[in-house]
Amino acid sequence: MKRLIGGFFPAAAVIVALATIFAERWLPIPTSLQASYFLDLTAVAVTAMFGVAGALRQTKAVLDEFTTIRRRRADRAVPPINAEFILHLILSSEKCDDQVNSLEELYAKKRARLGSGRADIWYWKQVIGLVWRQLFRGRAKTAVVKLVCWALRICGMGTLADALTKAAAELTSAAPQPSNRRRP
Amino acid sequence: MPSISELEVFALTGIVASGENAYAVPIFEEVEKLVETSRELSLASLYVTLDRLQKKGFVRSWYSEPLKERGGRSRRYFELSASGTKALKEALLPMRRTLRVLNSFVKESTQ
Repeated sequence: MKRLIGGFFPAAAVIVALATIFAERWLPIPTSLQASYFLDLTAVAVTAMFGVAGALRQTKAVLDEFTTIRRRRADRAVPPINAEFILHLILSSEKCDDQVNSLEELYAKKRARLGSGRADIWYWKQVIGLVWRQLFRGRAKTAVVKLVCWALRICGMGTLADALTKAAAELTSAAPQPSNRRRP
Repeated sequence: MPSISELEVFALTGIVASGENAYAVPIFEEVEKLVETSRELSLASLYVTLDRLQKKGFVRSWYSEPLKERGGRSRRYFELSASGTKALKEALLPMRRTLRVLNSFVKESTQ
């Protein structure tokens, strides 16, 4: 944004416009109606010229920057940064290290095979899958089990509901995580 | 013995096929070769399957020392336990029988 509104040409356009207004309003220059129109038209034309030139120049600068970033990414095979950031936010540090690095390795291979666009889509799909599993794994199942238990209790089958709750708790308990840093 | 799903069999096979270097990437690549081409495997489902296998006691896992090529980050390695090997053998038994029958059928038809 700063690049789009900054720079010499847009600034020159604004200066010309302000100078014209100032000259017409406050300087004691006797001007006829036709001369006034001519001055206005010239000011508008010059402003438009400066404005268009500035916008073109700034657009080119922004596009050049994007091209450089894309070229740099193409050389280094870097996965989408935003997607990686999401994983860092959601996963625990050790899990994140392992999963992000595995994803990066697979991404580099996919990119060589499919190209950057499709590899990026693949990466995003994997990240969404990981986030979904991390945030909602077991929760949907728990909700369904709770609903079934509630229905069983209403039907007068409290013992069955208790057994189901116990079984569900056992099933949804967390998997044992590797704690040691070397081969057992 | 706990029951074992198709993806779990694939994951166990992937660990065996990856050998000493059994971390997520080689396992994923091996499993990708095994699953149907129409079905896209996700890393998330593989991780969930591996966690489930560990919970069942079929798989052991550990984190490696931080690795230089991974920017000082570690890898999680997997290994089949004795019960995992047994479960895989049992799961592959029907396939072996089928193969034996098919082989004998092919031999008979060629003779």
